[in-house]
Amino acid sequence: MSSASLTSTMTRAVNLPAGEDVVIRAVGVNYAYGTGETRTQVLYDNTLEISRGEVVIMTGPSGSGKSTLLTLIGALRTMQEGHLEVLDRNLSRASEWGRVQLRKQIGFIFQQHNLFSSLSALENVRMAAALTATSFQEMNQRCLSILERLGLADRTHHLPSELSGGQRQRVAISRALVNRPRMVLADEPTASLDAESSLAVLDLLHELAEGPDKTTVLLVTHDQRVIDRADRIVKLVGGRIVTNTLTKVALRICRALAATESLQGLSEVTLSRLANVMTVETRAPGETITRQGEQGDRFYTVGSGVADAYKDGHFDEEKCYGEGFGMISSFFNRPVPTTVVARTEMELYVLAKDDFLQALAEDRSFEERIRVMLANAPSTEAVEP
Amino acid sequence: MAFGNKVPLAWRNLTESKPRLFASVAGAAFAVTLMFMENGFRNALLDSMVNVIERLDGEMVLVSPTLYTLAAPYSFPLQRLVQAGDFPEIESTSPVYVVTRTGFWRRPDTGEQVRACVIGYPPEDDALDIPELKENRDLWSRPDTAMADLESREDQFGAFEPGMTSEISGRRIEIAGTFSLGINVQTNGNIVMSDRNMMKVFPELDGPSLMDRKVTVGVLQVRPGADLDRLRAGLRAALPPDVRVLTKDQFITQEREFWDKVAPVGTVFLIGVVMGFIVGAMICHQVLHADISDRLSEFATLKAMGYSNAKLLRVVLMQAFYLALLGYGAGLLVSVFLFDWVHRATSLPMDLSRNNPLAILALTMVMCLGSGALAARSLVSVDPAQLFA
Repeated sequence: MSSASLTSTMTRAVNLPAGEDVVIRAVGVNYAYGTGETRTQVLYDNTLEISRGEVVIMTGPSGSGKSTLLTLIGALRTMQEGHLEVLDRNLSRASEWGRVQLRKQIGFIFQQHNLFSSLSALENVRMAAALTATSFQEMNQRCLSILERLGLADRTHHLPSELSGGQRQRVAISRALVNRPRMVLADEPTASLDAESSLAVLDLLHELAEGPDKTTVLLVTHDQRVIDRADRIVKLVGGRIVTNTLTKVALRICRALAATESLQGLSEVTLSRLANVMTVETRAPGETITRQGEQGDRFYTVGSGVADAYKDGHFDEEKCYGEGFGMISSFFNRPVPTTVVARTEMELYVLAKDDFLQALAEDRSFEERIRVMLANAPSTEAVEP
Repeated sequence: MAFGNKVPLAWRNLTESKPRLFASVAGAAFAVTLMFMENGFRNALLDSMVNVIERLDGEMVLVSPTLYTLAAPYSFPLQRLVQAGDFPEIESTSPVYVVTRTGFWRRPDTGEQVRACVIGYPPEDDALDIPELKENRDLWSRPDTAMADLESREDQFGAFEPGMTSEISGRRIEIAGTFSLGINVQTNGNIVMSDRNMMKVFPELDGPSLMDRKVTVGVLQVRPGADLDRLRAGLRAALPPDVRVLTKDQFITQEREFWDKVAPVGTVFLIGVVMGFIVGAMICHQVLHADISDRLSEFATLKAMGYSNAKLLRVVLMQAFYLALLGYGAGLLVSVFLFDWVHRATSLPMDLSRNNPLAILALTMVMCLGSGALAARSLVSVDPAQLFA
């Protein structure tokens, strides 16, 4: 399956990968435990694309399938149905050996530290470094460096039993990161850490993601400190990805929606719900975006740039950041009220008809706001959000 | 002791808990000691049964065709030995008379009668290569005298001292001196006397004529350079079928095989070795399985990180290897003391150096590595995905 065809399945702006270098590509992934009468499906037709360097949070209630999806991405399970590509390796057809080779490029951090109680902190980290090290000196240097980075320089020769819970977890994190993995999969990595240690771990993960290696980080967590710093939040419920939000894009859309006059006063939840179903489009200067009198099926919000609106052939007004235009004619029973032409390079946030109707159905405050707009507008006047 | 030339994981896992290490090594050492002792008993038994034969001072022997063990001596007429002596390759011959069932020593201090193995031969023949017997030949050549084996069980025979008098099978005998030979599972004491005294004590050995005396073993000393196979063939052709010709080595082999396989005392002890092996394998399996079970999450983490099953198996096998070495060392040490103690307590020829320590080491390795491989099955089946559960 080509990259283009996969990407076409996800058109919403917040769903799209942050960059062009996609390292995780899942399409229609299903997974079930057991067979026959005991068969229990835990993942249903999940599609997801994540690019290199993203910090992704996977959330969802217990039993939602997030751990199963994470273990499939980590090549810890064999794929059953669908397509899954991780770090350029097709896991749908990977052999056991192929999956072992892939796992060498992934750093795993578990909720339990799982350190060998018989080995010192340094030796536990060496167990991972030994998989890739070229020389003992180079390996030792890398191990000491990562332990020092996580504040364990004076604990390198201590056994796990001589370390606190937080220190043990930091050793486990050092072990996961010592080989500078292309991807990190973590299950509640900061659960047993104090605020300072959590911050150090998060800084390190972000440093890895933003650094020259551009490590992709996938975390299962409920820690708000972590969630606040994520690039993408993927929420699973009942085995399905219900939210897949690239937070930077979502934030940009939310800010533009918040600046829209007709939406002012709506809660952040409502705005982010709208943002989650919108797409991002760009327009070149001179390009006509809407034509007056046509049957429209989209609303637009200006994210950047300037457009000129014309009514009956005459200049009407300028459309700037946060201003909306367009029409969903079948719902409002009106044609598109103005012709809008891009004056500059523009970024537009687009709400299509189906997503608009879905947002109306799902969000009561949005639905009320639209009803008020309809009630206040004269029958012949255009309604623009 | 390094793992992948980097981390000594197997050694650290084995030695992490000192009490557990002690228990593990003690378990393996127990099995090693059991194997050493059972094998030692087997060898001691077989060695002790050929004790007399090994000291026969000759290269070939004549025995009755019905003799399958010296413990149940059958005889042949002395004339056959004389006939054999006519062969030019034979330098000298000597008749040896053995009584194992009807020879009784009366303890002078208690009057109790104890069964003994009585061996008789002409003192001047030096048929037994025992220095004390050769040196004191004149003493025990005298009428009604005998030599006593100092290694006879003192608790049954009392202490032998030169000059003491008592009875052998009802006839008064003076102990002319002592020698060292050793006992076996059939005999708790040995007495050596001249052929003349033997005939007095056991007249049933005598015959109507001198040539009819009932010889148990005819010892043949062969001239240097003679071809033993050819001589044996010649003797077999020349002598009647009431006598069998064997080389000394064949005689030893026949005696050992009887006790090893026919009796089958040797087989019983061999089963003991096997039992020791099985017990040791169970102990090692339990030790290694418990250790793996305790560290299953850690091993699963290694698997998640990219360690293959083969590499994890190597860790467990290395751990089993170290356990085998430590267990063998401790077991060998204990066995040295036990062999000495058993030898002093029973006079059995317990000799560790003849016990093939390398074979026991190989058995210990197979025992531990096999157990390790079995215990490692849980590693192969461990699912690293469960760490995310």
